Amino acid sequence: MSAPRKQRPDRGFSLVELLTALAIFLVICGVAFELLTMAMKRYQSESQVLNVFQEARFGLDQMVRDINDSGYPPLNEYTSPPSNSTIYALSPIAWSPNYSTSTCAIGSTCTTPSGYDVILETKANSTSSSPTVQWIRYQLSGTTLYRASVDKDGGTDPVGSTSGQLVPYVQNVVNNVSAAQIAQFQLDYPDMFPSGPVAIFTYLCDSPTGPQDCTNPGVDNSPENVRAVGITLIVMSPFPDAQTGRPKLVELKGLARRINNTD
Amino acid sequence: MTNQFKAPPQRHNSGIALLIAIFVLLLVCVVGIAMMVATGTETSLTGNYYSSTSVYYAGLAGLEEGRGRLLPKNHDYLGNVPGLNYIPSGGGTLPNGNVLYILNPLPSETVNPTDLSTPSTFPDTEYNNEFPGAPLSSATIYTTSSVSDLGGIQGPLYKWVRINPVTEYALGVDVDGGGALNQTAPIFFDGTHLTRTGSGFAHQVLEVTSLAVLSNGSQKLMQYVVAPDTLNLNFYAALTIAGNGVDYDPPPYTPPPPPAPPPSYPLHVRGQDQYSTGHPAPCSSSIQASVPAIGVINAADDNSVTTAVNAAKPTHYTGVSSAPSIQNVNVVGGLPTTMQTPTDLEQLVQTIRQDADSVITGPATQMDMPSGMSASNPKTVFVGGNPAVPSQGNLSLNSGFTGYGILVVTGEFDYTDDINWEGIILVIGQGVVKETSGGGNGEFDGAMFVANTRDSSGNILLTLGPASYTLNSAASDGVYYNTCWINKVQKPVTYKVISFREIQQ
Repeated sequence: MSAPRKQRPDRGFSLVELLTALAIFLVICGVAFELLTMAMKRYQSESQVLNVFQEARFGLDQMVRDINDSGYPPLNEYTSPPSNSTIYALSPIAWSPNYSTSTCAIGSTCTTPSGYDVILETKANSTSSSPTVQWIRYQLSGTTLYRASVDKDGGTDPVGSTSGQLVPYVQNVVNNVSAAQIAQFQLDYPDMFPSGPVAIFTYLCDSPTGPQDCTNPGVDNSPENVRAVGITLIVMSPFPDAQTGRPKLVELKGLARRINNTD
Repeated sequence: MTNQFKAPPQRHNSGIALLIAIFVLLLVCVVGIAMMVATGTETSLTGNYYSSTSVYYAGLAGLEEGRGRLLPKNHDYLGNVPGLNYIPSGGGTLPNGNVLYILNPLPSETVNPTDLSTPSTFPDTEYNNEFPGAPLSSATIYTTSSVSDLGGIQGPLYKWVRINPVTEYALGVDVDGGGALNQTAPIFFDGTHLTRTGSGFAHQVLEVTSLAVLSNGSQKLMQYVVAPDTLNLNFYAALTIAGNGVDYDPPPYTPPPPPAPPPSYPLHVRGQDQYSTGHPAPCSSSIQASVPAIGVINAADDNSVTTAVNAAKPTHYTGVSSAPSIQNVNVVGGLPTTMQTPTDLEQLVQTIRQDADSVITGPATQMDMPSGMSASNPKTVFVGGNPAVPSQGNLSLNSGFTGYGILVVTGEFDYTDDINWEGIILVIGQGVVKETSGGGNGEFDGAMFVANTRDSSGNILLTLGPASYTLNSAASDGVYYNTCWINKVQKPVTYKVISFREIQQ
């Protein structure tokens, strides 16, 4: 006969043990939830940045595509200039004032094209059965970049024709906000705003020595002579940075080169 | 009695640790997933932009290969591909329905744009939209391989490039304003605009279409409308001596008293287009309007040259006006804009030099001329070197030499009366031409232009100087205006992009 096994007593935790365990558990939970909250805020913030980035990227892509295709069909596809000027592109970039009668100088006498406003002439859907060319306008107003696409009207000013048709296209564009806001941005993003507002559109004109900034002295700076358009979009996330509370900006750059000629 | 009682298993108080571990692991997972989502979205966005840009430039690369290979000077000129026979010889018009595909498949990939029923072989779904009356199934198809893949390195990812003639309907443009889009007539480019007529300097317009597809499915269909752009040299006289105080000095005609027969004096300068029958032109283009036999650019030179010709044999100088047909071209329209001033002419000369088949530093003779010149293969020859050393631009031709193409002589051009040149002769620079006696009966068919643009030190003059043309023999047949040769020898210097568009799919 074996000896009876010694039974362990059913002993519980002491109060001190429980309190200690509970305290440790609460501390760990607190830290974990704090981390989780911070991660969720950061995720939300980054998501907003990505949304803004996506919207801006989409807008930039469309602008580049429109500028690449601008000037189609050119006047030289017709043996003689058609009486109906709405079926060809007079210039890849339309202008104001005095559209079609006398040209203007970019950077001085042109209302458009400018750093925040451009009107393209092109047959946006080249396979469409309609022969009419469109005016496609991009204009920054406040922090919204607007877009309009209307059929070209040969007898009118493109600014007048497109003004009532502008629809919001890219939000939270901060290229040309108030001086106070830009000063605030410059604290965090000095390279984005080296000297005040940043033009969305910069123009390169043809010259005997190659494309040059249209505002350079001696360059033919008429809208018909624009060869390439540089695009800079600076967009701000609606929510500030989760950690610093500072505005979050994203800068996108693109360069579009028109191929169609006007001669 | 044996006690079989078993003690219950010992309980461990370690469950709380497992719970905590699981909880912490959960938190870490949440944070990790959030970060991965953010990173993935950003990567995806950046990838979209990368893809969009890549496919655009891949398509553009296809267009440029097609455009570049249309140029005869290109090493991979389509006209030189053995057995292809797509480019019409002699610059003829390419009939509609002749379609060339340049194929650029990846390794182990099949590209067959004419198989419209197999999407995986990249069918050309656009052609039938442009030519509904003559679809791809009825077209004459030519194919060749891309040259973008060099040295084993994969080139741009376009699948095919299509080259074909165009019509108004294909362009979607009423080129001639006729009110309807013609579906059959080819389109031409006259140097400035598209036309429906292919006469004179007009060259046929072609369409270059490129399909680019990336491995991720991004694709673009893009199209150029292109046309050959030549120098567009135009002449208002068979022989133009442009300058101030020019000297044209033919040998005198002095027939002996009858009954002695008159001496042979075959020297002519004729402004009637394609007058010569001894040197048949390489084409059958329509006869164009006559021009003066000799053109000058001011009234004083008109008088002096007329006086010199009257002392020779004025009836041999025929053209748009009564013999001797000598005119101040400024009265009848003036020189072309690219040939009016010394600077204009020097720019023209340099443009020709850039695209010349042969650049020779003189003094040169026919021994230095390029081989292989023929009526079917005219060449552009430039003779010149350092402008400060005018003799480097001298050329001397003799012994019955025959050349074809554009000849530019920047120094003195000496030739004997038995040499022939079919095409264009430009003596621009020192502007001195001297003909001497040889075997006789040489002939220039096309047009000749003489201008003095530099002084003897090579400096460009402010105004055109006293060009001179001295003939010591009347035994050559002279100069015959011929638009057929003038057009024939002006090969494309580039294929100009008339328009560009991205075709929506």
